[in-house]
Amino acid sequence: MAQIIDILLAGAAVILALLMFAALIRAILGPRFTDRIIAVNVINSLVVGELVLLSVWFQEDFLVDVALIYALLSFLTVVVVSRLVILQQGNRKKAGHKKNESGGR
Amino acid sequence: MFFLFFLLWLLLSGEITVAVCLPGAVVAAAMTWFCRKYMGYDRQTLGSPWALVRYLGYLLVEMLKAGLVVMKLVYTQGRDTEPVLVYFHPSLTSKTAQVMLANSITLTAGTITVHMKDGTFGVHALDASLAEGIENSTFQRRLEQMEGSSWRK
Amino acid sequence: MSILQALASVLGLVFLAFGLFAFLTAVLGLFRFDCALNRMHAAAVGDALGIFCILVGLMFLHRWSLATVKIALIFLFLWTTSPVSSHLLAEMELWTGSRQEFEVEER
Repeated sequence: MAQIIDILLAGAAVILALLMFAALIRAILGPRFTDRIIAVNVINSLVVGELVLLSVWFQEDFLVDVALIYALLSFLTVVVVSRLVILQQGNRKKAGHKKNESGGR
Repeated sequence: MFFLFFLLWLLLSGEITVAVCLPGAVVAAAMTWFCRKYMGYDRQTLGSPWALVRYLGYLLVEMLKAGLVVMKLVYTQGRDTEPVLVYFHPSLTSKTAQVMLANSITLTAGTITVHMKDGTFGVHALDASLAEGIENSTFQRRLEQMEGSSWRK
Repeated sequence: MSILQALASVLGLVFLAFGLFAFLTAVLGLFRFDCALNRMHAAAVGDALGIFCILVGLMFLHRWSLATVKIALIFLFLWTTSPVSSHLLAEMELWTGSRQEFEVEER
């Protein structure tokens, strides 16, 4: 029974890795940068799943802590990138309005 | 709030001794003070704890159903979906209820809240069939009931 | 191995398989949809349903210890953060995107 579970867990880990690879291809192909960030977000969730799976497979508890920190960091990267882009875009729009106003005069 | 932080500390350290509990209590108190002072945390909660638990259970069931629907859409329709962006004004007054409604809509697969300002919600739905009745959903009715019976910790 | 343990293992494996299927659908959706906002719906399936089923399955398979509670903490955390990040991503797409590939309704 334990052996069967080990084999199945190994298969699941391989499937997760293949899915990660497919999402990476999507991230490279993505026509816009938002597509890439979405693909990277999916990769992050896959990595969290894979880490927890490895912790069950190897019977090591510390990998769960690693997964927890990884989830925190992946959330932080997405939030920082999108906040920066939104702020920059807002500034650019404001600058554009000012330019239009001064041009109109 | 203090007990939540303290419980998290105990969970992460994994043992209950005096050497663990004392710094944990200090850090939890400091975090509670920080949240009160800078994060704008107030003691008002939405509805009773029991109503909150029931709401979360309903959200879980709804999430599973919507996930299955979107999975079916991925396999059967592909590129032929009709995405729509719906703007509507929910009748919720408190900020907490509005944020919870937005998060519930986003967490339910197939609909994403893209815009939320001054009580106006913009919801993007993957297919027109998913956007039906979004402006008067069960989430909203439940949150309205919970707003009515607001409970102070 | 007692019968209860075997039952837990089978239940865990079923949940794990369903989670893998949900993730497969999510990645397939990333390839099949064409606009970024539609792709985000597919990614939301993986974020919400896939990670939930995988972690519940692994909770059943894990031998009982504190790590089981930590796995529960992980998906609690992922559920509170994934709406925030997808909301910000959608807002960014709306701010920067120029194409309008959907109809807008006011209700």
